[in-house]
Amino acid sequence: MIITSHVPGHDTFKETVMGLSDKGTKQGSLKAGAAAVTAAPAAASETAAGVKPKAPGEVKVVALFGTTERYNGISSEIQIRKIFESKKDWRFVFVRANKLFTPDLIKDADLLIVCRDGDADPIDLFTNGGGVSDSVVPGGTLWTDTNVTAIMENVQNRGMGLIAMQGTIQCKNQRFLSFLDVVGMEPHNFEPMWYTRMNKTHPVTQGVGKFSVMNDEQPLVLIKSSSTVTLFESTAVHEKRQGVSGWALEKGKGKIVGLLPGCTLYAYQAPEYQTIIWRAAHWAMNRSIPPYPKEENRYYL
Amino acid sequence: MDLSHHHSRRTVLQAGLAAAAAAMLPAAETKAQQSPPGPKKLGSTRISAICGDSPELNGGLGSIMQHLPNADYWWANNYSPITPGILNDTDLLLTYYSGDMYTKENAAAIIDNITNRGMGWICVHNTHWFVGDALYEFIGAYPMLHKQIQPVAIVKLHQGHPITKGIEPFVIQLDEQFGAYLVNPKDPNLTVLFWSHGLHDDHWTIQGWCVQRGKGRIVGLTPGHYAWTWNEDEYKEIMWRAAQWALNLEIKPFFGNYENVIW
Repeated sequence: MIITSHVPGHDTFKETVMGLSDKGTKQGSLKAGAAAVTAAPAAASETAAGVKPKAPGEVKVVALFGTTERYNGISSEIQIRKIFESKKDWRFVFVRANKLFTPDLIKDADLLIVCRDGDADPIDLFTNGGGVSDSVVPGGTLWTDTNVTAIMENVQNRGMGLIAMQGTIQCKNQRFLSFLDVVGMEPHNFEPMWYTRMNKTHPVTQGVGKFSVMNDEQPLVLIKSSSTVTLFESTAVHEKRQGVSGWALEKGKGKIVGLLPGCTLYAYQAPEYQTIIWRAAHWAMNRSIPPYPKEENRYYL
Repeated sequence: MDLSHHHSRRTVLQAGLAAAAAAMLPAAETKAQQSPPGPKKLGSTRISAICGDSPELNGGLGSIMQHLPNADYWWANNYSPITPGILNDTDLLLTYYSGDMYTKENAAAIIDNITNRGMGWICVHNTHWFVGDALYEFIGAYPMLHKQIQPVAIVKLHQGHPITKGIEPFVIQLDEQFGAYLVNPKDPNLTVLFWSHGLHDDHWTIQGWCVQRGKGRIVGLTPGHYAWTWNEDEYKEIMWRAAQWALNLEIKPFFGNYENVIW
């Protein structure tokens, strides 16, 4: 399913989710079975068609946050929409299932925010009637060669901004990790996290102070090239594990920001992290960065 | 500073808890008899650490205080031998727990030595739970009981005060978050040095303050329940500077370079 904001009356829901009128009939079962065989490509072609083309002057942001046993994509979407609620000319197109992501969706996007590991969606929320089900049908994966190529080309050749968040470093696609210029490191336990060593000169983190998150995962990266900039680090308060949790680089015409906090809702609730996401979005799109309306450094006078 | 009219719920609760804590003390006092300190040598800086039977705290404070010029460091394992005479020879008083020492005579001696002679005092961790009504106004704070033991971020450090200048926020892995209610937030002689944020319960409170009383200076520093607090470079730096400030000395950095403190 794809839901867009700032598009009153535009009902992509009905266009992308299967019809329910045949449910329960023999004919319906046959139809559902046949549809399942072609579900992914059918949905893919319909999703892009269901999204309004970018209007002149509009900023189009495509985002994909998966929902898994460890991650709540819906709560993340709500948090992201709240951060940018003042941007009335920015249209956020959220893709709520891996299988619904298509290269067409990002061909005119200004920014892609992606937060998804290499696993398939554990439950396809949009099959067999969606929402009401007595069975589990796994969904698709995001990191296909087709999608990876499309993302890389849009960044490098067209200048689309990219924010790679959290589980993305576990995408299991080496080509994409090389594109991000990092080696991903597995998280350990959930625990209180201390975000520190802020890069005081980079536009994404300029003016942002240290902050804590009550409970979070700690995926880390090793940066491969000296041209890639560390934005900030994290320290796991109990384990004392420390490493890079934010970085930035440029690829061709595009700019990329990696942000690893945010497996839990607590990270998105920290005003300092909201500020980083706000600044990252502007920087990645090569736009001037206005102050975040709810900017706050809680730990400084 | 007669505060005897203050019989709030807080002081009643405190009295009850202090009594409970005091009941635990005889076990420690059955250990070796405390020897009083020897005569103070001319030109030495007598530091009386009246902090009880806590090797972790002794190690943490002692490793810092022995770097003071001409330091003559005396550690009291228990509180009953403390007399006005000992206080009269003290240049810097360090206290922790210390419930039994606040007799009427000792409280008067503390006030007199600080106000008129310029003795310094660092109220460590839970000191403000034990000083009693006679000293709350003098030290500038009423106690706030800690809640759960949790990771505590030390934050909002005063960048205009020499004790905390240049030190960035830092986090203590686990601690009792003893807080402070200021007796008079508008006291012109009182400065809040830092706040803290409990990472689990989102509790915010003052954990560091300092106050000038006559010729003397008092610093309240309430982090420090566990040994690892004393391994935090930032906290060691704060404690080191607090000792120098309380002694009215020129403040020299502990780590050679203030920048080393910043993560």
